[in-house]
Amino acid sequence: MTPIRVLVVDDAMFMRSMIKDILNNASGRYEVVGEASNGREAIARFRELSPELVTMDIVMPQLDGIEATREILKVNPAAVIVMCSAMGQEALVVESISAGAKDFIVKPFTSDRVLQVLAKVMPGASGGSAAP
Amino acid sequence: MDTTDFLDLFASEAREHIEAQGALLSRGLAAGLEREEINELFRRAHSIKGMAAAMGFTPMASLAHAMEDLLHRWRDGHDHPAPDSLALLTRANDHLSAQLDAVVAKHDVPPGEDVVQAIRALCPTVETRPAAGGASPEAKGAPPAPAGAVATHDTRPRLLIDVAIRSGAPLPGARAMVILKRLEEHGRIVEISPAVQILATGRFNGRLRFVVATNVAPARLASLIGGLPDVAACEVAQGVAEDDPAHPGRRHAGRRVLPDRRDGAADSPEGAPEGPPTPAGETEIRHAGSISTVRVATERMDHLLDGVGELILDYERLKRAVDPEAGSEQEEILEGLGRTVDGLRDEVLTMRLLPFSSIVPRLERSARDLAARLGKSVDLEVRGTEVTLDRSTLEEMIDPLQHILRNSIDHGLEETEARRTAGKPPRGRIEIELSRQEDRISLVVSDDGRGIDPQALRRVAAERRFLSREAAARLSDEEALMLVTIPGFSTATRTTEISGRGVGMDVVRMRVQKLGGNLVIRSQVGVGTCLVMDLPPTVTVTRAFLCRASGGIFAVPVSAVHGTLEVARDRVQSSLGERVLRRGEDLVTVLPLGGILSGDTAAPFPAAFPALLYHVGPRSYALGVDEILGEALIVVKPLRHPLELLPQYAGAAILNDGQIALILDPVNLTRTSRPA
Repeated sequence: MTPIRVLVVDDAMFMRSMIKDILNNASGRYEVVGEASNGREAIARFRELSPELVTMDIVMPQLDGIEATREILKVNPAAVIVMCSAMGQEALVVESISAGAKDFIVKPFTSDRVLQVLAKVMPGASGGSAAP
Repeated sequence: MDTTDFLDLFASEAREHIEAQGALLSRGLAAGLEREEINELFRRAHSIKGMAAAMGFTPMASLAHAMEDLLHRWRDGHDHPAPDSLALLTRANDHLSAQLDAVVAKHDVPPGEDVVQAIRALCPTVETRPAAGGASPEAKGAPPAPAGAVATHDTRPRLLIDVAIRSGAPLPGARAMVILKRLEEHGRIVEISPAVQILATGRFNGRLRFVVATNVAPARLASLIGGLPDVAACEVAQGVAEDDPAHPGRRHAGRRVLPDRRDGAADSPEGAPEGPPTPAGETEIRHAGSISTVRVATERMDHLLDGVGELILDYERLKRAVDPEAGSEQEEILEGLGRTVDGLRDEVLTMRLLPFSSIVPRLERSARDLAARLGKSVDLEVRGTEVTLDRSTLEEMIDPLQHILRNSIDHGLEETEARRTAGKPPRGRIEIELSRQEDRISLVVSDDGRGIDPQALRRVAAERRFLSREAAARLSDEEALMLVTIPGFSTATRTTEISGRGVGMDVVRMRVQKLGGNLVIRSQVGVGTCLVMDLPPTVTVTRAFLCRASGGIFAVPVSAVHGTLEVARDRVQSSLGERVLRRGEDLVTVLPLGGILSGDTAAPFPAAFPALLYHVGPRSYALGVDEILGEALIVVKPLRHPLELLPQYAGAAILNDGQIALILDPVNLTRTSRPA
């Protein structure tokens, strides 16, 4: 099965590394094809790479994750974007979802949780039962 | 069909269409119309025509029909919308609005034949079909929507969906939003409980109920939603009656209960087509997160709020009467009840919120009309249209805002020539900005007109004996500007050199204050005038200090009070005929509430007494009372005539023990009590 191509967006390199680590250890199901550290960069990389999945931090410099989500969905309305949020940002997450993000994960996150959420949002992966 | 039952519904639907048309048309006048906008205008005109015909309002139907025909030409590319014809449609739309007002007020409906003729003249090739007067349906695909059948032409089955989010799940509100969006992909959401606005507040309790019109099988939806992360259970029931009121949280036994995990559904992956998506022509899904709305008569909402208010009072009484020990069962029950009551109150208050945009078309129309009548060129910019306010506050603000606009256009903004000479752009500019600041709404209306001269106001105040010369001279600029809000002042000065603000500012200030708000005027001569109002976003339930004075109980809204203090008589000094107290750097004027009420403001003070500290503009006041009883949640009831004429009272509240407390408005109290 070809791995799902993922763009990881977060202004903290630490968080990006952590998500990459989780995705790289998911039995070859995901491949991180690019990273971005702010919303502007995320849009550019999205255009360039056409990833199948984007993990998107919310609070970022230059352009926040909600705006970036809106822009990316203009580029491709079918884009699958999952927000990464800290606790206490419920209003922002609600806004992101209503802007078109598919789901969200909450920091600090566990590998299981991330994979569970991502599995549900990919079209055709609705079973979520891929053996871990 | 007895159409009178549908009048309210017709009026609100038609109003919505007319206002949306107005907004589209004014955009069109400024920047031209996109194809999709022409389509939307066409659809709306078509809907109005159908509804008006069904109600038997023939003049409205023929006018909407004429508009529709012209839009039809544009849509098919026969013609392009020229500014002239856009202006004509705007006039037609304004006329529709006037007709609707007349229908609602049960007055004679203005015919508008001239407008119809003018529009018809623009579409010569369209044969003039008989106006859709009778019940004869149009031969045009979509049947005219019968009034009252707002959402019923979606014939898809309705499913009642109850969802419970796992307790302890992170961000349950965001999870609810995911569920909502997922359901929207598969059908039309007819109803949602709690209100979608609750989801972002952090107060969502994890239970959701939807009514969805969809062709998707119940089992499929149940597995779809039940399979989402953090969904503990999802029940889907079939065949909900359309008028079935939602009972959030009530369980429906015997329905399909799906646990967290399920299987199946693999044969039809998410996103598979399920019949046609809602056709673009159907516009029942409205803004605000594309949730469909349920229409409820406004008075029923008012009753509901009243009921919740009583419930809150009873709860507070119960709490006091029971006085449970910590850890007892009673305490636990009371706590739960308190949470429910709070949640209910929030829900009801949220339900009453409407975006400012809902009154903007009316404001734009007034500004446009008036500017045209006075031959002035005015640009009106409105910002913050998405900010929400209580429906009644919004309604109550329409008049004052129209008043303010009228003043700006009539008196504030100069003639084009005068503007040129002053080096200003020829078009006058008015900005309305609404913004939310914590728990207040700030509403600012500013113009770039000639401004108001506080010195001239001081002079007139003295000449017309509103104030002594000395008192007038003592006023700060800000206080002097407020002179225009004294009843009778502006009329007295209308013909004098005072420019900028005209009549009726007293009414504006009274209205704002009655709503629990405050008005400040800022102005700079030659530069412009700015009215700053702050308003509570919701009304009618408020926290207040209860205090006793002259044997009565009075409530003062907490929002108006900056603190409480204990005043010792021997620290009060006399200054300029006022009794003042030095507090650090500040001089605080001491006003005895009992004295004000009995008219004897010079009565001696007791040795020590409590007081409420508040500010009016730059000055501080201490309102002395006999006793401060404490803080309580009160339900504000408006005062009926003639008590409403007393500006020092903002309303009345019924207290837990059934006593009535008048709610004081400290700002007005100060005005009425200070010797001028």
